[in-house]
Amino acid sequence: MSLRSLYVPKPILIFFAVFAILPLISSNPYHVRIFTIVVLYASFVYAANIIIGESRQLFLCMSALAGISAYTSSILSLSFGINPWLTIPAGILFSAAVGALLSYVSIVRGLGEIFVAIVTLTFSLIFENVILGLRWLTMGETGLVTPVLWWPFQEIAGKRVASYYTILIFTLLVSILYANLVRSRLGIALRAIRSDRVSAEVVGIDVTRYNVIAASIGSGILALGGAFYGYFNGMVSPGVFSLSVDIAIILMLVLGGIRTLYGPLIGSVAIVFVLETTRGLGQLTLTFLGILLVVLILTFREGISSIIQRAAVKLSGQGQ
Amino acid sequence: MIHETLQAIAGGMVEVVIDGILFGLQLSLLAVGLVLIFGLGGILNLAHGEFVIITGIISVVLISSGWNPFIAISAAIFLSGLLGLALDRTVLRPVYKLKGEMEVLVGLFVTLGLAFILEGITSYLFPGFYFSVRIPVETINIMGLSFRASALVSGLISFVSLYLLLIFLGRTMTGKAIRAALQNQTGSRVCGIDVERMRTLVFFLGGLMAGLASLAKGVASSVEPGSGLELTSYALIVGVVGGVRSVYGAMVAGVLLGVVNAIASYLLGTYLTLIILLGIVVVVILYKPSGLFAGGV
Repeated sequence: MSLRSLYVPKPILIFFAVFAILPLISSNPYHVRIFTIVVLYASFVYAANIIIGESRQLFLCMSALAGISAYTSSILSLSFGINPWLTIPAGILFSAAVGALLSYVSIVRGLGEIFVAIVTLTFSLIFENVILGLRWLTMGETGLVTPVLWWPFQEIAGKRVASYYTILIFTLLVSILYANLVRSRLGIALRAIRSDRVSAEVVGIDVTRYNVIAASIGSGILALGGAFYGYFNGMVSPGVFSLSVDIAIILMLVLGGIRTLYGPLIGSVAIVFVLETTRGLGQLTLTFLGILLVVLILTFREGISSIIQRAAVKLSGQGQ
Repeated sequence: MIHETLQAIAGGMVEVVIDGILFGLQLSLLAVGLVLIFGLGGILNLAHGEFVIITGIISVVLISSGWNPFIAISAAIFLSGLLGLALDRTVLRPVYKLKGEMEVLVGLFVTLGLAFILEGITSYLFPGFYFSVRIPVETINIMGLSFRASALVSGLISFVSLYLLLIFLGRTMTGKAIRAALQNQTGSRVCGIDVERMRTLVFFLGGLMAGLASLAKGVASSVEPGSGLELTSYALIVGVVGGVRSVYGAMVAGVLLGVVNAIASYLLGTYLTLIILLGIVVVVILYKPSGLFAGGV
């Protein structure tokens, strides 16, 4: 695809322009940290939107995939003294390969969504136990202090703001990637597979190939986001990449609107806001997440984004 | 000399295997409720482990307010069954209206949400709490081998519970109706079985089994808030290996995995053991998604 045919929807640019102004409005370190987490989660949700939404593979190991790359990059950089920017690609490759393998194996074995969920859930548990077990390499439960990553323009803007803008640009690129993926051959093939898998196969769509590609792209995004998360956070631990992160991602996806372009942004803003305001509740935050999940799944599966879209269509229809 | 050493190792091994079987019975009991509910309800109840914890909490609360321990624990187990029934009658109602894969998926997320709700509430209200039943005797010697009495009693409780469940499913009319509904819902409807009522009953039974599993675990070790999802994943492991819809499969798989668990942790240590168990799940799902022992119900 040439750059000319790249599809960049205007509302996305407006969204990101607003995000770009945020640190100028408040440079409070706590606020900037929240902004960064929102934007980072949005990239995770785009990945989930590709894997769970577009290709309907219920991966319950998204945080593990992010974690694999964060650990790989950090460990390689620490043990060989290499610049983290050079080890991040290795982390991405590793995670994408694992994601592709999980996807390939489940399709070839003809696992339904529920078994994909169980296999990936099991994979998450294995990931956690391997990290805990390889204590000499990963520092186990305490977590590994990540090497220092140089963020572009950190000398001018300061580390915190520089990391925010780097991650913001990453998420902008991811959202544009998603917008174009949906319109590409891959996106159309995935849509065909979703609506009628057998017919899609009959007309010559390679179901395995397209699903595996979608899973690898999604895993790659999770991997880069995970690596950024690790370096931004200053440490990686099993807690940072635990299953509750997967739940948060799925909540954001469902709340914002699955298979929509703006859903991931809306969802991550809303859920991070909720999580931050309920932080003082301690363990009850978990209860709150649970209530949200149950209510959303039962009553609100189409998401905010599609409701806004429908309202907009109605309004413009009345205007004419 | 060598002969004696070998004999000692073999003796140790026998103890390890029997320990494994006792632990495996606990696993079977834990899994059987999950499997029952998935088989007939079509819901993979990820809140299953929370039932175990809630039973423990209710028992302790009742005992500490002066109830006879035996009555308190029985009441708690019964309440766990009622909790299952409530689950079926309330939040899962809208889920049943969905079709096929969607029903399973939405059910999965609803019960996961429920697990989070209960896990949050229980660890918030009862921090540092544990449910544990003390057995007055420390060890029991049988034919020169010594066992922890708690493990033996726990295994016995599990075995009796499973046996009673089997008798109920195999001998009584209601049990047979449940099995029929597990195998073929349309067919059972044709024969006049009220499948919806059977499903409610199965949720009650599933809750009851979780409650009994709580007792078995409380006798062998302890039940603590915050470990619900871990318990659920153990039940899931056993269920998947045995065949996620098969009650007998779950029983056999539980004992098998218990023995594997005991031998592996005896020889390799606990950390590798869990990975081996999880590895078994992956291999089973990939090569025989219907489970190893999934004949019949």
